Amino acid sequence: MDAGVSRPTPVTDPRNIVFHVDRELLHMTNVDAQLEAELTQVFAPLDKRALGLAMGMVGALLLSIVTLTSMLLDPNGEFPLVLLGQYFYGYSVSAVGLLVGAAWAFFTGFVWGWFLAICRNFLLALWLMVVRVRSDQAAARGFLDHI
Amino acid sequence: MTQSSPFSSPAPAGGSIPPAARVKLARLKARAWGVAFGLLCGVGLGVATLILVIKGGPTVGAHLGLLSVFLPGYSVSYGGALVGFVYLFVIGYALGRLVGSVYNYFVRTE
Repeated sequence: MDAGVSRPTPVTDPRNIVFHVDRELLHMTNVDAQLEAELTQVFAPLDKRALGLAMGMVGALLLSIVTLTSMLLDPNGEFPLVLLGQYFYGYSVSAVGLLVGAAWAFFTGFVWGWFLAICRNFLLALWLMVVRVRSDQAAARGFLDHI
Repeated sequence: MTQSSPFSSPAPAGGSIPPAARVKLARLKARAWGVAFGLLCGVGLGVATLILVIKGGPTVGAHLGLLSVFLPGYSVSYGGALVGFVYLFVIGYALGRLVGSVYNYFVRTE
């Protein structure tokens, strides 16, 4: 067959086959890398200290705002916010109580954030381990059939 | 902080993930946290209000109704449940977004 008359199709040309295979492998590699990057981001563990600090600061801010609002809008103490003093020693609906409450709220929020991150990371790691074990078991299931 | 991909072979000693990539991996989506916090708070107050309304009684939600000090317009009623949901969703969204942003700030500065 005259190559000048009929152009070879991409499949029959050995150079094109190599090119196609290379491109396919490159595409698969890119997809795998992209998928792995996204999965890594999804399954990345939470930073315990950062989440503790974040929740502590937001908790302190929230309690400060609530105390301040209560002092301004509810001077008669209709809303029993002072009952928080049962848990937060030294807390009261006052300027000093605001500082004490903010410190307590920061501490409590920090502990909650830290604990939340630990629980989330632990459960995620546990789940990943289960998935891995199941995957390994599924991969080895047909082993005896080959003997 | 150590980050490793659960889907790849173990990282070589010395840490294979560059700091910039590690920060990007550790970042939270502040908006998602805001929506999650908002829904949690909003649905929480809405359901609590509805339960008290459905339960009924001589004085419905005497204590929960005190929230109207902080949330003007809120009451222990069907309409109040909706108002409370909206209030708490907005507040929860702000808090969640703040938690996500502060978290990202601390992760970035580590």
